[in-house]
Amino acid sequence: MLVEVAVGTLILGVAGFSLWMLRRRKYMLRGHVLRYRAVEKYVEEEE
Amino acid sequence: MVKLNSPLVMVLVIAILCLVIFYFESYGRVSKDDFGVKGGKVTAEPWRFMTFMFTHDGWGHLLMNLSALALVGVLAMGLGLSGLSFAAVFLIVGPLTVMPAILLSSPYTFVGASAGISGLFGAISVRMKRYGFSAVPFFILFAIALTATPAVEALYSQSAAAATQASMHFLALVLGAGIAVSYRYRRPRRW
Repeated sequence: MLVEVAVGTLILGVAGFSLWMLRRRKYMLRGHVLRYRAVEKYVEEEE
Repeated sequence: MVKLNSPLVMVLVIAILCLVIFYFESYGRVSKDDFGVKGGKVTAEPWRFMTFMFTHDGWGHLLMNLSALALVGVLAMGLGLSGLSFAAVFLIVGPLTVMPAILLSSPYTFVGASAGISGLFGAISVRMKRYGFSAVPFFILFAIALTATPAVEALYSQSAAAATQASMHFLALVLGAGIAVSYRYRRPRRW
């Protein structure tokens, strides 16, 4: 039983960390896309 | 609306199958000897390669596997994996993982979804490349989480069962990652 609890806790930690990293990366990529669109719009307006 | 081809739907289907078999197990209708993979029996009853993944040995085993399955489902959902690929990795890695033990005439009866789940974690580590991550650190982290505890138990109590569990988790992780790599770098179709 102890082994199962330990494996479960470790996998919970590692999967949670991976999910957190993934969320952060998605947030960053979304920011990049939004900034790129804003710049593109600004350039079009200037032209 | 939930799409049918989603990892979370597959998680639900696998969890229901595990719970149904566990219900029958707890009432003594079936046992792990009826559905588990054991050398000598699988040649006559090859369907055991499918049923062993949904059979569990006690509440602790079932709860650990179901929670890990839910976690890997959420990760797969976040990474945009399809439900079909999720199910394919789970169903292919499980039987492949027990194959070497059966060929080496292991005396144990193998049950549990952990082989398929470890394979899914391996595939997830490769899939992380989609978001610009390196697969290796995630693979190492998943390998530590899945094998460290049974490996320590095997070292301290000299338990062959724990050593087998650790090695099978690692083999499943490698197989899952291998399937994901071969799918990612497959040769494009020429029509």
